[in-house]
Amino acid sequence: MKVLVVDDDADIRETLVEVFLDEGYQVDAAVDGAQAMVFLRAGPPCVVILDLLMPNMSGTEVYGLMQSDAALCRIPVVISTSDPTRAPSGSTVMGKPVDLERMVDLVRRLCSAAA
Amino acid sequence: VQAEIARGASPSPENADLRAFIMGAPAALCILRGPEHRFEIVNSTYLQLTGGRGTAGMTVREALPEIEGQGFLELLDRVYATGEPFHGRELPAQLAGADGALRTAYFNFTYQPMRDASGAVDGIAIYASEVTEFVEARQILSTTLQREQDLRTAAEESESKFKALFDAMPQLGWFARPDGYIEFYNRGWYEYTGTTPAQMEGWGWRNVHDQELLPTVEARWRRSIETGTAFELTFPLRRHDGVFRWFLTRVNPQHDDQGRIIRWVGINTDVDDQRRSEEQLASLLQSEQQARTEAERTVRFSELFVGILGHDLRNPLSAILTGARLLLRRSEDERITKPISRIVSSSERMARMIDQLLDFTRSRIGGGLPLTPTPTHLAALCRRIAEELEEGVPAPRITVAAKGDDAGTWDPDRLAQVVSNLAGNALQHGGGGPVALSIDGTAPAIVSLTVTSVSALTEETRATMFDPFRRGAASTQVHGSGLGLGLYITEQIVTTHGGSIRVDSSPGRGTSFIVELPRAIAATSEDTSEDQQ
Repeated sequence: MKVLVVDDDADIRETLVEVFLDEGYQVDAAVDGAQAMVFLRAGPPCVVILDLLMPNMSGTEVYGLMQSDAALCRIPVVISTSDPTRAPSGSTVMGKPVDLERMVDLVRRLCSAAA
Repeated sequence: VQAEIARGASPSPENADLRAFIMGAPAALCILRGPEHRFEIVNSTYLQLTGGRGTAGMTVREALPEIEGQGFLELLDRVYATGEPFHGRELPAQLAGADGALRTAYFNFTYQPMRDASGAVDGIAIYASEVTEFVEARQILSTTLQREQDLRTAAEESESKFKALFDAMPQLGWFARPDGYIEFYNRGWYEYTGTTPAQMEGWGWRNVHDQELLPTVEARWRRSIETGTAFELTFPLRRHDGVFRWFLTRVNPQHDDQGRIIRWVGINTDVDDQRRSEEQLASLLQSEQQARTEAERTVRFSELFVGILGHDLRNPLSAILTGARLLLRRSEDERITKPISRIVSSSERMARMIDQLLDFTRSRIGGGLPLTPTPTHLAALCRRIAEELEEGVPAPRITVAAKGDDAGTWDPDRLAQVVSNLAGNALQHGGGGPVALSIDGTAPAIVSLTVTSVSALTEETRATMFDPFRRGAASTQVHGSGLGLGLYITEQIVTTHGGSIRVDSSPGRGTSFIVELPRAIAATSEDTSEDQQ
């Protein structure tokens, strides 16, 4: 099972990558929205951890593209943001700083539901 | 012949040459004989005047019956009786024409008495010339002249009325010749400027102008004079006391029938007060604009600050916390986990302070705190917060009691902040006693929450506890004290919900914070939260 972590902050991104590697997931890491779309098209993950404020295509734009794409719209997305009020309506939101226990728990449930 | 007549000598009828001369003379001549004025010699020119009447041998009365009563017969009688000649000038006579109708004719004539050898009057010579055309022409001329005179008098009267009105008007005014030389100023001008006609005549007006602006005024005035076009300009004029006031000056040319300029009429209207008001208004508008710009700058700065707090500052803190938590998950070694726990708790405290600063800043920007209204049960929310606050505590001190309907439409995350803040404060400052959360939903429109602890507040604390960044004595005692924003933000959240918060504290009964919330957020607050999202 694969998790896609999208965050332009390297420290946060790499820490999350390590967390999910520890938990036994395959992990892809994208530094911005554009790179995230490349990973999404190459091989869909079971869940996307998506930051909102990023250069080269924001998380909001990535979320929008996924929702309008038949192949991607079923992939669960967890919005990981420092400003939950900006999250797209209807999305699953987890504020920063990330509560690791809740995040790991949430991803586990989403991936098992997808599987 | 005239000389002969004038000498009083009767021309001899035997003198054929004289008779021939009389008959052919271009003037009207005739000789009357006897006291009844019988025509003796009548020339053709005379006969033209009478329409052929006056045949030799007829008396005047017989030949010209219409002159009876016109005074001529009486004149002839008098000349005959007295021997005094009579000279008539432009005297009218009513004479019958060929058709019998009377016409008025004017004559210059002389009745000259004629004497016989003894010197007695025995006849009258008449010399006459008709001047009707001349008299009528003069009458027409005279009438015309009179009419012109009347018109001129009327124009002069109208002019003097105009000048009187002009003199009395409240504005300053003057007349100038076509070349711009000012001939007349009204009373208003002299009263305002405190000058005399001698000082002002012609181009003297330049002395009451602002010397810096004068060249512009003069140039414009000269251009109007050259082109014959109206002049309009606003400039200051010096009052008698030396104060300059602004006047709107309009000068219009007056034309005659041929379109030539006969004079210029200038009117100066005092617009100083108006101009001052306009300036004040402009200045007010400018300061209002500055204030708005300042306010906009503050809002922009606040928004920038929110961005920095919310993203730039929180992201590295997130990295620290997430990293530290990852380490805690990986290690069982207390030598590692204890210091990392301190990193975690300090980072969490810092994250809370950033959240508070963010809330504080947002509460100060236009729309206030953004809310996400959601159906919420207040009692359930209070129980969850109580559990979180006392997680793992052996002897919990918080009790939650509810009566009535605890449901409403509020922002549950924000209300959680309120409950957490009030209950947390009560635990910390409540002197170690019990903390009671009681929810009252028995009223239809309002749900209240009362948080009660046993210890009373000092006056000093009560006075300042809702102030932001308060640094009271009480807050310094608190372990891990924050920014002093907790109660301020709590109050902001409650009021943004359309509710109220108050405190009731006395040494006997302890301290109660009472929060009252309307069951649904007012529409404007919802709109605000929509906008913010």
